[in-house]
Amino acid sequence: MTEHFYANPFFWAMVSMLGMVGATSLFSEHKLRHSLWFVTIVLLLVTAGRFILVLPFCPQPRFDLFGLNAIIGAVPLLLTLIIGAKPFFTVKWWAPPKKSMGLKTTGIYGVVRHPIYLCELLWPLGLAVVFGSTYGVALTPVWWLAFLIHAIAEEGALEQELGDEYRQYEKKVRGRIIPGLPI
Amino acid sequence: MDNQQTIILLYILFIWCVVLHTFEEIAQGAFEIKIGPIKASKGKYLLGASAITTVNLSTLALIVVGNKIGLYLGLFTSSVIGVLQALVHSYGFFKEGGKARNYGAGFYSSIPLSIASLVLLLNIVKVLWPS
Repeated sequence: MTEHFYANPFFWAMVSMLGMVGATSLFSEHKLRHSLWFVTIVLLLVTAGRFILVLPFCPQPRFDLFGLNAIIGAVPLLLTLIIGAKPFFTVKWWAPPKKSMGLKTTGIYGVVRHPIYLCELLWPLGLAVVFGSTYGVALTPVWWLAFLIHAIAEEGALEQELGDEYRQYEKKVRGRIIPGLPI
Repeated sequence: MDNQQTIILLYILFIWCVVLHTFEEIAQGAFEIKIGPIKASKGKYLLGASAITTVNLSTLALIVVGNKIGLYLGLFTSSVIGVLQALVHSYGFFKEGGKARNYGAGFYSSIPLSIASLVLLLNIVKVLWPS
């Protein structure tokens, strides 16, 4: 049994999910969406929660893949780097959508509409495998849903800003987070 | 496996079923549901889905530390989000003539969800009120 809240993996999962609720609210009309502090706190919560919950000080059932956890877990981590590196440095992913930002449709954006969110599923999965964290792996569908909800909210804002241009792009590239799938 | 571990595992299964159910509802356009004068908006639905997931993770966090409030919350979530919603979706599905739309959106995934939540509910009751 976990006695301290900081060693409770589901406490950290909840922290991350609270961050996701805050991140989704960035697409509302609330003035907070323009606050750099709010965006920074939200990003910290979303990321830190999923990072901490897999670490060895959070007691949970651990699995061993014949001593190959580090190698198998490195695959999604490498994919995160390959898929996410360019969008991460070339797109203002932290800011609410604006018409002046323009629409990127080439490269990875020609395969999937939200490559950064795909990375947000891959890195926690990779890290969970590296640390043999059962709860970390088990919570992957939860992050998938959380980022899907976030993507739907973001697309509403993108359609408002970019109009037909974005609707055409949605028809051309079906993959929202997973390539080829509308989910 | 002790009672607490069983409930943790069942709760994770329950969360998976909720995730699957939300995917189905989103795919079937649950945003468009009209309940009398009340019309669900996309924003409210997305916020509601996020809030339900947050409540589920908080419940699980409380169950892991052995807090009884977690079990009572689990009783509430498994009966309302699990069993009760299945009854509502079944009613909607048959009212719509066997089509998964309006209240019936999410009918198919509500079946495994209701089974998982019923098993979870019974296990929580067993721990809270041992005979």
